[in-house]
This record gives sequence, C-alpha cells and structure tokens, in this order.
Amino acid sequence: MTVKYDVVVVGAGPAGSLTARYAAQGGCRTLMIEKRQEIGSPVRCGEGIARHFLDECDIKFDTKWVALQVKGAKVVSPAGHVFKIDEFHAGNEVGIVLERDAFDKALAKDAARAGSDIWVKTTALGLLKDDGKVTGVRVKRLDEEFDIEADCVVAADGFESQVGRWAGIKTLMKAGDITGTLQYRLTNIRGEGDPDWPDYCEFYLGSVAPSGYVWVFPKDSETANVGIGVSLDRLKNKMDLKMYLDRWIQNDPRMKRAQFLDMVTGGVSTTPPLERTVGNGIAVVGDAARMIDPITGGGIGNGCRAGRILGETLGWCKENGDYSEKALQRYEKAWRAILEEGLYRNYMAKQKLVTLSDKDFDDIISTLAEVGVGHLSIHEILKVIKSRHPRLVEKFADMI
Amino acid sequence: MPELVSVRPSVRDNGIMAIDDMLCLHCGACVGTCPTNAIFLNEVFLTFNEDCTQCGMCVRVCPVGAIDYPRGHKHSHLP
Repeated sequence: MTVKYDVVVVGAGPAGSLTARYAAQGGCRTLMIEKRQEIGSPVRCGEGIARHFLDECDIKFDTKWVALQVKGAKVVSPAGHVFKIDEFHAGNEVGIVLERDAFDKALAKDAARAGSDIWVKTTALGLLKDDGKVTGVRVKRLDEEFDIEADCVVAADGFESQVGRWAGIKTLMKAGDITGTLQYRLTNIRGEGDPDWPDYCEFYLGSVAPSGYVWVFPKDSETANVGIGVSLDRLKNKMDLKMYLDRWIQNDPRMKRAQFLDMVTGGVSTTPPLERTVGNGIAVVGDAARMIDPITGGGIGNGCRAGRILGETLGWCKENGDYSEKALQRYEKAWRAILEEGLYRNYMAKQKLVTLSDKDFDDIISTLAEVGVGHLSIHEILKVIKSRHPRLVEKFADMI
Repeated sequence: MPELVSVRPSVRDNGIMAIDDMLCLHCGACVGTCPTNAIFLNEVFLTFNEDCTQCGMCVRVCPVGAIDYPRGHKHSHLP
C-alpha cells in the first residue's frame, strides 16, 4: 500500500504540531505521525516556559495546560545568594509552568483543526530517496508497514532524532554539548519557611550540578518538578546524575517529607546552531535541529517559533510546486534570522559558564542581587559584574 | 528461608551492550547521544547494533542506569 501526502511531519511535539498546523493552513496535504500511543505522554520536560512566544505562534492561552503561573525566577548560588528575576525584568522570559501533556495535545488539536491528519503509534523506519532527494518515509503503523510518498519530510523527532541523520544532515554532538537530565515530580513539599514558595521557578548553580543546574519548578503549593541537568563530560560513572539530584534534594529542608509522583528523564542538546537544517525534500525542526537554548535548556519556544516558520515555508513551497533545498532555504534563513544569534551567543556564554567555580558563581550572583539589572541582556549582566569583579569578566571579555 | 519461585529476566545482553528493560524509561537520551547511531529505539524497545564502539557515552548519560556493558566486558556491572 502506498499513501501520498505533500508533507509528512515525523514527531507530534510542539515543533511538529506547529509545522503541521501552518503547513496545512498553507494548503499542504499534511500528515503528522507520532510513534507513541499518546501525544504529549510520557512527559519529558521540566515544563517551565516563557510566555512571549505564545502570541508570536498564535497559541491561545488556555488554563487547561497551565499548572501554575509564577512571578519570576530565582537563581541561587552555591553559598545561597539569590538573584531574583521578576517577569518584568526578564522581558516576559519566565512565567508558566505547564501541564505538558495537555499542552502538546492542545497544539496537536490546532494542527488537526487546520486540516492536518494525525496518526499515533506510527513509527518512521527509514527515508525513501531518489537521486539525492527525499521522496517519502517508510512507516510502521501498528502491525502494518508501508511507504508514504511526500514532497517534504519534516524531522521533528526530538533529541533522539533519526530522520535528520538518515537524510545526511549532521546532528552529531560532542559530550560537552550534551546534557543528561533527570527529574522527579515531588509532592508533599513543605514551603512554609519560604516566603517565595511557590511563586518562583528556582535554578541552583555550581557544583551541585556540574556544567548544568538543578531546577525546582512548582506545579502547585505542595508539588514541583525537581530536576537536574549535568553535562555528559562531567558524568563519570553510571547513575552519577541520580546521585547528584538525590544529594541536592536531601539538603533542601522543604523536601524532607517529599514523595514521588513521577520520574522523567531525557537528553538535552547544548550545542551551537547546526550548519544545515534543510535538504532536498527534508527539513529539521525543534530539538532535532538542536534549537534548544544552550544556557537554559529550554526548547519549546524556539521549536514552536521555528515550526511556524517551517509550516509557512511549506505552504509557499506548495504554491510554487518546489520543495527543493533551494526553496527550503527560505525556512533556513528565516529561523536563523530570529534564533541563530541568540543561540550562538548563549552557546559561547555557556562555554564560559562551565568553567566557573562555586566561588565565581557566589561572586556573580551576590553582585547581581545587590546591584540589580535593568534589562536582562547578557551584555548588561557582564557590565555589572565587571564593575565589581573584573577578574571574572576577563573570561567573557570577547563577548562584551 | 522462603523459596524464590522465579526471576523475571529483564536484562537483554546481545554481546554488544546490555539493556535492562525494567529500568529503561525509553527517553532517548542514549539515542541522541550515540556517536555512531548504533542504538535503535522503537517506542519502548531499545536495541544496539554492530555500529556500536562500546564508547560508553550511553552508559554515562542514562539517567536511570539501564544500560551496561555486556557480560564479560571489563567495565560491566552484570554478574
């Protein structure tokens, strides 16, 4: 059996759903496939997002997928210095703790409403190619294995992306640019002694999570996602990640009686932007395209923004009957215009941050807490630090 | 002493690498990390193929310790 679509999107996460939605809206016969039996589940996410991209991607705010709205973020140094970033200063960078399973389903609904077909329990097995051009994808849907012909296949298959690799797009990362993550959803957290609980997403820096951080994203007044990311080049032994997280939790008095609701794991890329995200009849988007912010590890916003651009580009391709690499360059150029500079700058900053000691983090965070910064650009932050700790800023000199 | 009636086998060891199916959360951290693309994850079923170089990046990145070197390998934790 052979099936024919204009666009097949592999992966029904946020980037896939946005791509499918805008491609369908642009007139493409679109199919989105998801290997799992349920879109949005199991959750593999810290669930903290900024708010600003929602409007940009025309995602209608719905309390169904919001666990909690927070006032801002708290960055905590090893010695306990706290730098608070409220929503105003972060330029709307913080704000929502999601119910990610509901969020992904809401975005998939938007795609369906726009006209996209969606299949679950359907795995991509390989790409069909003809003379260097991707012409479709072989899938397995339940027990049925068959080919889908497509003018463009979209790789929205996440961190573990295979589709891009099959198409010859280099998505390989080195150990220092991969972060392993582990998160517990803990409940029975007692926040009575903490006046800010549960109004802030918390980030703990330093040797508690080498080349990474521990996060606490509250989901309600007694529940939070408590997780850790550590760079792979700092993980020496099996289960090191769990050792770091368990140790941190033991030292937080609020978590003394905390109990598990679930456990989430995953990989996060902290790479510079890829050299190429399109080919003839193929485009890569979202985590698969390594669009995750190398400092925060956040990927939903960037995935959604790039997904919209890709979907719109595919609509344009349909109009022109051209899905070649040259035509898809329109997507490549447009996503780079809005994301590349920030991703690259944050990658460079991450490369410096991973060299800092606990003392360095204490100095930086206590300085920021004391002085405060008007707008939270890296440039501003560096200026403040320079005034107090010129030694530290030497490391970042080329970024100022 | 009570008698142990049965033990469910949960480790699949194909001589390349070993995966404990009862620990694996199928998150794909190892798949994205693998430098030779030697890990195939079909939703809830992980397999290692001949492209594996036993570099151990997957062992270290696995957040739940589900991956190990095969039995007999000098770094293996398996009995």
